[in-house]
Amino acid sequence: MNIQALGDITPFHPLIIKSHFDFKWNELESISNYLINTTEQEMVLETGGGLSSALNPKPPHMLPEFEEFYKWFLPMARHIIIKEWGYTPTINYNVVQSWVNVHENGGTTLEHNHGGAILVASAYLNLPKDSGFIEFRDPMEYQKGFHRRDNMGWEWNECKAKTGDVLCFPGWLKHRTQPSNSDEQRWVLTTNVGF
Amino acid sequence: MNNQKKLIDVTPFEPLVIKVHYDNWDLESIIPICEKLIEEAPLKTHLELNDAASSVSNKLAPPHLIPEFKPFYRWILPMIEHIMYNEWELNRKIDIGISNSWVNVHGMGGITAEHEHGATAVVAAAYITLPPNSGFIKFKDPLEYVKGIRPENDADMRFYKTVKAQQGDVLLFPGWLRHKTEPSKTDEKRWVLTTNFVAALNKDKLKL
Repeated sequence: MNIQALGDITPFHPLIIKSHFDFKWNELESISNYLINTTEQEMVLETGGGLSSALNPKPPHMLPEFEEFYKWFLPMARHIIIKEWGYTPTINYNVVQSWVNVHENGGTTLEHNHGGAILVASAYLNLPKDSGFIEFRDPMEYQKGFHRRDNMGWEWNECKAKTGDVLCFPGWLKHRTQPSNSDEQRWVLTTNVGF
Repeated sequence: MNNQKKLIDVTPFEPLVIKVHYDNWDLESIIPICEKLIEEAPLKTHLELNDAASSVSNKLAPPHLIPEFKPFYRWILPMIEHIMYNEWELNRKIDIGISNSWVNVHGMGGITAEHEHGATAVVAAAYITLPPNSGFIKFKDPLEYVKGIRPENDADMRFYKTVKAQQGDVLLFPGWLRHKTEPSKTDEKRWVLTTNFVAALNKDKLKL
């Protein structure tokens, strides 16, 4: 069918924004493992071979090994919050929490959101082939659910990525990961920005 | 999207507002028909304020059943099918029908108040004429409640987004998306043809 070019002119803010940072994974692998190994409490969201340092009192953003990343990340996060999403510039947005997750083969993170975080950043420290992407739940599923769809699970939408990609999205947006089908570990650094 | 830091919008959800363009309005024949439709409308709609009127209550002669509008509907129907089935992934077993169509006219100060189109699958707002300063459409952010934590001042500016257009443009959007128009600031008439395309299960497929 010869369809005239359709222009997407949806005027609302972009919800998920991708950028890229070249992590030196060989220099971060040791500290990332240390954070996982010294976390005493397990996260209920991590299943099937997934572990998180979310409850570790040492968050990555306070560690010198991750300083270079946060020096790059924070101005960008503030730019997105203020310029792209229209928040007031009179507040000093800052990192409020951070952690690393690791997924073995079969590992997955269950559906969740980040509550009051203004911006969440998922940074792929190491994303092997077939280790699973993040999926976002359509926040307009109730409005769109009015009409019948061909495909079950249409409300879940995958965002493809590669090692070094950094996905920024609002804390209220529900998401989960696909299970890893790789024997190589998938490492993600997650950061909550708030005020 | 600002590309200063190579930020890429990767939002994976389908587009909500889509623009296409129709170049074949024969204004000399269409405008007198539009004026007659307005004149013969039995009721004044509460949504049209100041110097504004609509033929929406004229159920005897909706534009999609009038021969002069047929070329437009023949042109747009494949696009509506594409959007419903391919862009928005609605069930292909459900046919497309038109539940209603009408024209609106705005003079100086004319405005259409905030509203939505209920169960309509795709709304098409076609600018038959759009003089300078006659006002654009504004869409209300459907995520206003989750975004409502943002500390900002002007609530109207915050949640309403203006979509600029030109004469001949056709805006396509889901019926649940709330919208209104800016007030016209010109004496020249702004004419808009609006059509509700519905997902019509167990009904005859629309033939044009």
